[in-house]
Amino acid sequence: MSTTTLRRWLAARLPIPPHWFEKPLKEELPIHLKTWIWAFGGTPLLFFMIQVATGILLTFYYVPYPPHAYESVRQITFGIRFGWFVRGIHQAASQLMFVAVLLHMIRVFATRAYRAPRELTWVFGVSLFLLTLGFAFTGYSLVYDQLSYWATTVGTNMIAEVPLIGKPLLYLLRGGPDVNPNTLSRLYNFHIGVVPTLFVLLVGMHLLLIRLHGVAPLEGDKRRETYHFFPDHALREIAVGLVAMFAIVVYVMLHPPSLGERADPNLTPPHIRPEWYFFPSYRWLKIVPLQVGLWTSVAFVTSMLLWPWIDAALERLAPRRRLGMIIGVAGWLFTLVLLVWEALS
Amino acid sequence: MTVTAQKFLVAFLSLTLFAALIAVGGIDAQRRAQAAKARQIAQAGALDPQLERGRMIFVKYSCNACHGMSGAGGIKNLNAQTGGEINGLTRVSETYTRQELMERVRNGVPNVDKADPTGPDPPLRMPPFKDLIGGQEMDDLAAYLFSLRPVETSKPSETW
Amino acid sequence: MAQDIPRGSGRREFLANLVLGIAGLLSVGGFASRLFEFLYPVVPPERLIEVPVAGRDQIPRNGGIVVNLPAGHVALVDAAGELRAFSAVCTHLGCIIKWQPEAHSVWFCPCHKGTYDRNGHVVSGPPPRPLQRYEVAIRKGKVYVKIPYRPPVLPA
Repeated sequence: MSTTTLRRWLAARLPIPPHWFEKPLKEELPIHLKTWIWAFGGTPLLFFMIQVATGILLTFYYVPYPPHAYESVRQITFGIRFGWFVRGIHQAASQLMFVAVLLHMIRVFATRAYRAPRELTWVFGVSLFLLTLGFAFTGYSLVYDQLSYWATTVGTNMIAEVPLIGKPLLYLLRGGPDVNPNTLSRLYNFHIGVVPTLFVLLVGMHLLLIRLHGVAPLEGDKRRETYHFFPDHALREIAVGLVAMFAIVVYVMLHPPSLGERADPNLTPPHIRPEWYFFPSYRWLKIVPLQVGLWTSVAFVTSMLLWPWIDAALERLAPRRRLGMIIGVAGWLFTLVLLVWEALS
Repeated sequence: MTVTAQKFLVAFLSLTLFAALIAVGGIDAQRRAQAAKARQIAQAGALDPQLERGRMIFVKYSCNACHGMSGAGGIKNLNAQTGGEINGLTRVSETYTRQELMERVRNGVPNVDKADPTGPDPPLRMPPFKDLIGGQEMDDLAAYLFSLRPVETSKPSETW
Repeated sequence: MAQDIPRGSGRREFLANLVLGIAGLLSVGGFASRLFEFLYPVVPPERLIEVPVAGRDQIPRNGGIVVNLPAGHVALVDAAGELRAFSAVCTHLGCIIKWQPEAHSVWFCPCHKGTYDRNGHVVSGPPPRPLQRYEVAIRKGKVYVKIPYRPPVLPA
């Protein structure tokens, strides 16, 4: 049975037009992408896929029922073979995914790749960022040690403060007025069902739009040459991915995951804190009154989503004054200040 | 970088990753050996009915919430003289007589000694159990505590 | 027009592909084996333990009882004064047998109507093998049986 016969057999049964393969692989990328720095674009997706794989593995042993949740995490961390490894990678990759997404957002912002006609790509991208936050929040709540339980209680309490819909939204999220066994089930379901499904849909649309529009041209770069995606750019991205994997594996070997004491609903520990990516909002809400904090946060997120149009309007207002860039950098620096302030206190 | 060179680079990186995964196997074996030893302590009395009852009582009154599973310790108590943590119980058989131990459980520890006298009061104290545990339960609990032995395990790293 | 990437000579290219292929397989294989071990349960070995199951007088002359313990299911039967112990797990598909004396049999399995006699041998029905026999000891009026015990698989 020769390969030609096999190929003919497959081609008859899976009549995929050959150019469906050739076009993406042979895609011509603008030459400005041909450096190592531009090879990091695939890292958010890589880390997401790592999360899906390790996450699915963890669901083989995790039990989302409060009396058993903590114990199941303990077994994974100390009992199951390579449980610490799988859990460690899941934790490490979640942190790295955040960093990768942030760096990607910064790059897209700095190169103004969100300009017309690519505004929708940006909107989907920001939504993906918000979903990533959702992943982090719901995932952390599943460990059910003291820090996890109380961070979740505080975090969900804040939702109640949203006017009009706050209370019903909180009840919906918690499956009741207080944190109860339903709450863990729901957060678990969000983490493994709702958010991943939305994420995959949005990633699909995000990537589809990028493929349809082509890579955004780089402002000020006059070169017209292009090069092929496969194998050149692809190999660079794979190399970057392998370095990231190696870094994660070594990190987890040196710093295996641990576990705090079991959650006690009657005893709030002295120092509760969310994970570092929530530090900016955490600090902001400590400085300003709750209602002000909530509304400004909503405004901040909305302006992020609508940024391409805001930037376009600013550009019309003051052409070449780079108002958009100034505001963006200021916003980013402000967020960083809040983050570092909270981290050091 | 030529495509061929890139392929060699990717191959090299894959091999380093493979080497790391071999090392991971060694670490896993080590960790599980440690955890198994710790578990043996916990199950030492599995077939002795009194020790099994004692272990149930230890969990029933949430002693493990402060003193750790199987009395292993490790729960932080800021500025406590017992090394900034609530003491483990793996050495009580060497430190107390049965009577002294039962008295301590009955009365609790209302004032925990401070490591730094100018520092804050340790937040966690032991409540008295005299109204909760008595008679057969107290006997079984004491027998269980006396069966605990220390285990050499490395301390897990800080929660992040 | 796409830049033509300079490719190495044929042999170098082939070597690169080969090394890449092997390295790729090794690293994927490395992960796969770790993850397989993660998923595959660690089954502790079985060993024999002696457990008290009943008082001697709980089994009347020529009578029988089934005792369900956390460690296992034991069928005790008296045959003209001699006490015998068997596994109460039907050898067909694992249901627990009942004491139901008939003309030729004493044990009955409700799932597929298998029956066994006082020696644990199959009298009728689908069971393929006799009941597993256990060692019995009687001390101070208590019946002790040596049963195979397997500690629970993680997570307990």
